[in-house]
Amino acid sequence: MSEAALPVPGADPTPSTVGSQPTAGSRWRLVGTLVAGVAASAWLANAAWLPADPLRSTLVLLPALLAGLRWFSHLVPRARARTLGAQAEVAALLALVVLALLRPRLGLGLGPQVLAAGFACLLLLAGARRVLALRPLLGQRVADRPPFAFALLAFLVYVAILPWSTEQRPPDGDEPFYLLVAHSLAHDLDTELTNNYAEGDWKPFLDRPLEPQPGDPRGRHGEIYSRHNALLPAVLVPAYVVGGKLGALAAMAAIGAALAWLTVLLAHHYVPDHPGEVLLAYGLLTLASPLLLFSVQVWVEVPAAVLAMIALDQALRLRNDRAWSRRRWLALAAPIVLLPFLKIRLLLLALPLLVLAWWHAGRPRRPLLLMAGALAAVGCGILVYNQVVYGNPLKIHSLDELQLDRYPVVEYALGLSGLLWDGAFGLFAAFPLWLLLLPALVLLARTRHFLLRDLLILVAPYLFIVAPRSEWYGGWSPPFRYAIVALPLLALALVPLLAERPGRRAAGARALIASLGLLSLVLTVVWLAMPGWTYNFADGRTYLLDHLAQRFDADLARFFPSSVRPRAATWWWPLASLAVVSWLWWRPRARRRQAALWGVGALFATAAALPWLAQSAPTAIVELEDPWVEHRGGHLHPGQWVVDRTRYRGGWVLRPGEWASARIVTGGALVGIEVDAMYVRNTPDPVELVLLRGDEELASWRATSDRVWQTLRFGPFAWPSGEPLVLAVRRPQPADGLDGVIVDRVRLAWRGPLR
Amino acid sequence: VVRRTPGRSDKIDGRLRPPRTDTTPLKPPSRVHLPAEVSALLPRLFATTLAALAVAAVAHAEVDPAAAAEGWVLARLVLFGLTPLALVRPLDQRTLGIVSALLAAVPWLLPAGPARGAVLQLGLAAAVAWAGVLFVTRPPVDTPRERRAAALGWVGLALAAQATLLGANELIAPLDPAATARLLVLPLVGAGLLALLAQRHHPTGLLTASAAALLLAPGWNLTLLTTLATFVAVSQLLPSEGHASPRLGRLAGGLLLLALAAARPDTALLAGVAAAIGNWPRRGSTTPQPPVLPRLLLAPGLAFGLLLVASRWPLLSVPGAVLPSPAWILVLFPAAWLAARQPLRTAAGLALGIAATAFLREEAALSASCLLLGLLGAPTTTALARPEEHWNRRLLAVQAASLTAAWLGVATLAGYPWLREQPLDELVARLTLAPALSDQQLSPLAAAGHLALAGGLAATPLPAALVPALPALVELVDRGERQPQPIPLPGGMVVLTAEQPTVELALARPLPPGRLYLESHATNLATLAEGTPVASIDAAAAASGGSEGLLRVGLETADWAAARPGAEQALAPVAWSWVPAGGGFYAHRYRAEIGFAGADRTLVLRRAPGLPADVALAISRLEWQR
Repeated sequence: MSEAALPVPGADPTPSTVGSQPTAGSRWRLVGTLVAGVAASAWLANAAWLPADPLRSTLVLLPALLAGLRWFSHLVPRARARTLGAQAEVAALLALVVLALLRPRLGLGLGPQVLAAGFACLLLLAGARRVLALRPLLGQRVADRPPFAFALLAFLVYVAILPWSTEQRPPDGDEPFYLLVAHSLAHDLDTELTNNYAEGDWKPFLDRPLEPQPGDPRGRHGEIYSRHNALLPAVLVPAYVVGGKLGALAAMAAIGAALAWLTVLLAHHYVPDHPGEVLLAYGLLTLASPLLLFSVQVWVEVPAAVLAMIALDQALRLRNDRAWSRRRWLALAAPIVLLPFLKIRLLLLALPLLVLAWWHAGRPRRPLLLMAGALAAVGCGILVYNQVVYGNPLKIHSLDELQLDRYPVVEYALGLSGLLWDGAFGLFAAFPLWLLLLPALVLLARTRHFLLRDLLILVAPYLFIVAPRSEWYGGWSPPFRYAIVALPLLALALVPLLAERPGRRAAGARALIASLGLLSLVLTVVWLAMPGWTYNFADGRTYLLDHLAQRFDADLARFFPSSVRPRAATWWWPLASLAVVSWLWWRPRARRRQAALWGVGALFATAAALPWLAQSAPTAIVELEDPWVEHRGGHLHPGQWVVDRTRYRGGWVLRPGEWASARIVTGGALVGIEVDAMYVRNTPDPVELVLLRGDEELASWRATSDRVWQTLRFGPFAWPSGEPLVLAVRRPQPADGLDGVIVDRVRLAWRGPLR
Repeated sequence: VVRRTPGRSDKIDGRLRPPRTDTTPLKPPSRVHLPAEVSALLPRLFATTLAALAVAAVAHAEVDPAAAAEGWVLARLVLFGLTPLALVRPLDQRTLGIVSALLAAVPWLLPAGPARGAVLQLGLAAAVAWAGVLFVTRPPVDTPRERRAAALGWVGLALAAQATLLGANELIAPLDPAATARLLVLPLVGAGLLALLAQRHHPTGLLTASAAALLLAPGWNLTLLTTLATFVAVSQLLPSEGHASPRLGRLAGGLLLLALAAARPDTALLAGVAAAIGNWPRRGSTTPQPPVLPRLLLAPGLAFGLLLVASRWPLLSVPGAVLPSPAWILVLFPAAWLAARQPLRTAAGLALGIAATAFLREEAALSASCLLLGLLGAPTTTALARPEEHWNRRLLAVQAASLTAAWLGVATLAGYPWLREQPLDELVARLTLAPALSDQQLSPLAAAGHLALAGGLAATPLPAALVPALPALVELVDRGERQPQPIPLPGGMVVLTAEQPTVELALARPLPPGRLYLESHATNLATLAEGTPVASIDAAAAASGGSEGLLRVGLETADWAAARPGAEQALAPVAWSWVPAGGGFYAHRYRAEIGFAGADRTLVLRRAPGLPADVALAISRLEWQR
């Protein structure tokens, strides 16, 4: 067979996998299916017999979702194949539905989260199967207008998780305020929220009282406004009017789906000759966090990424044709100008986009000046408006925040590494398969691919401002919030790596992909089943590790990086992961199909070693507020909901009669102990901080200096392994009062060989 | 030295790669040379074994001793249930990895308690079922290497099924030789017998039959193995595709049958009759006829519908003698495999199946007997290996067979979490046409009906496939309106002791007549005889025959440690179980169903008078149902 006659996926699908081409009759049948699906969901929504269960809304949505999948199959011939896998999907779905319906009566003790995990797992696997079914649509070269099916699939996946996600995690963080502004725009035609707060207009989408955020701008007569801009709420208004909260969230899902589609569109410019790898990147972007988690939430980052990618696409088109048509002008300038309307900080994305457009268009002067003028006019307009309405041109911000020299270099390092590696807010922690980005970026740099240059120009200024901020992690949100704008380009950055030879087929790469992929699958199922676990507090811990630490009575968090609470792992993880992932990808080059299972085995071995390590590695630092520390009285300091909490040293307050105890693993013959503590004095009688080894008192410290952090040094002491270290506060003279000692952390320095 | 690799199509790239010529010299062979099959299995065994290690690590690290004890049970369950699946080669490495990761993640993520075990066991059951489906749908075996792989597949499935069905009970205590034999030796023998049968019969029927038998038994036991051995013997006596078996084979089969007759005359007699029916001269074409889906699904559908009718209108229920057990389903299903133009053979097969239900009523291998009788008339391996020459809807048959197995599987698993002490008894109670099946007993059947619906939709456009599902759907909808209503207990639990013998529950509204469900467990019942009242529920009047609102030892409640070795007592129906610290036995909470004539405003829970002072009863859940 000659090369020319070789089969092309898009042109010569095999009969076993491809159904007949759509006809007019099949289209009508499709319309009927869609109508029937929506009608069935509407009927189920009002069905009294359907149990009032956390999974009810998911079950209600199922018919409409299945109809949507029928639509997808209509567009994608390969998805119509009746393979064994397709039948297994149907069987698994029905089994889950039956379990969900009969859950209370089966006596198996299956919580709704368990079944939600089952649904999530099925969704991800079915989604992955359909992603692969899209392959023929890409042909041999990525077209400049990807088929609609790419957006539809992403939309269906996002809508599928919407009911459960919303049920378990009502709008949180900035979300309810965006919805309230949308409500105000829809009903009052303004953005002034005084009456909306007073009348409780948040009740349709929130089951807790909503109050203005601290520092929200006020009008000249005390009117309450939101710190958030009105563009996103304005976009959501039609959907909100039609479907309320769910309508608005579905609109966000549509925006997320548009982003997935735009990523494939951009692949046409950056990596058009690798359609298979583009498909894998699309699958990763669509089915993985963070886009999966943000897709049904109201944040400006996803819409901002959509606008940025539209502008970037137009800029890249100029690279080829240099045609400044009126439509091109509009398509390029509109998203750039709209970005600051979403959020003023997004001006830092608009400017690089302008530069990129100018660069790709052959550096013309007139378009640059016109668009820069428009952008400047918009920026000035926003500043003037803010000054007039809120009395502050930057709304709630100040120019001091732009003084970058006030941040030490370490803040930049912590913020940037935190966006990627932080255990609670980092991209790699939420979905470890993204670790492939490390060798991918190395490869891009090595080959001087212009994708890397565009990526850096686009996001570097923005991240440069965001990274050193105290809220680099995004506030009360799922991980990787601020860097979502870079996500499509990061996904495309993987394409050259995956297309390498032997690349992903080499033994090391197979092992890497399998192990990271499975870990990512399990974590994503957890994030979907327990949406609340993606909202970590910025205290250096995560829900998942806390859950394990409590069960194992050991400090697991110390092995994982945190930029909020820097520790050794914060620094060695980036270096080690870069080295290990790159080595595994490039060094073992032999093609061994079974290597994937060796990788999976290694993953399990690592998991098995983790609890053992946590319980047997010598204790070096005890953070008193951690869940594995036993507390008798006392409380967290500062409170979990204190604004800008990362600016404070977190600790545990001990008052007279209260103590905290931690199991210590010995690392040497003697130990010197340092305690970071602050005395809070409210009465004349001082208190004592006592250090005990089990029941035996070793030392004490009489607090004197009020509200000053001090490092107390004790020891050295001999310390048998397993003996608890106890810190207690007592008052020598009986007296009343709210004195106490805040203990931040205890450091243990081991000396001498372990006997 | 050069080597050439053949061209192949890449699923992602979509390009057919030309043959590659590699000019790098071949490495000298290593000193340790493993056979290809073994070297291919090593990474699969490595990954699955380490999945068990990851679960064991959780158990080792748990601080709560009860959680640790339970974790060790789960680790052994994963080791014995998941690792054998590595031997089932049609289960590709991607699926094996996903299954291993998801199962290993369960003990890490879920808190200790019965739900964790239930999820793990359901996951294992699904994995075994999926491996079975892949195993029977694999291409037919031709080469010796493929035959070896198929034999290993039978071994893997048999071991995994045994661990899934029995592991939770067998693995609580440290493994003794008897438990080891039950978990390892019996399945190995069973796998060998199945592999022998597979030489003449298609794995679809074999797997369906053995899966049904294993679910009902549950697990491999001596009776089942004896029955299988009988059928191996019979199989050797039967002609294959119109040709007589080799003389040596027939001789061996006959001798085996005679040997079995000495131990199990009834089974051997039935098998001999089956062999005779199998040898009945065929008329017309010997080409197997395609199984017709309605015929396959009508039988369980009919039985299911009758079950529902019987449960909702007890007066109309069919006498138990006519429909003695679910064996009807098992008999009718394989009967459909018999050639459509062979009415006498079909009738004889049916009669034999019904006779088997009468003869072997108490046998655990009942289902195997019935199904294998049908199997003898089913298409042979060679016929199914060339479907295009015979009938091209092989997939249909596979679907129907596997879904029927799944039907039974769900009914069994839903009714028998790993917690039940007498799963077979409970299952038979569910499937037998008792006049008063409760909602809880019928729930798994509704689940099964839905699976049948799934099978119908997936397998065929025929609306007839909906037949078995519709009654289930109607029942499900109807029952949704009759959800049990919880009655709040002060503090979440009521404990009746000598110091507090009576607790009055104030009802928010009057309760009309219905049923009460109580979950309870007692302490220090060792000295009390079975049937001794421990407590009563004093409403207006309790209506159910005999119980009169009483909670009695071994009937409605029992000691929480009644399963402890050395202190065994009668168990009531179990609601929850857990492994207490130290392991070695299950602790139980019990669920009782009591007829209830209604109450106005107050419900009184009263400890029975005259009990030893240290007897206490905890009631942790109380529900009322219309």
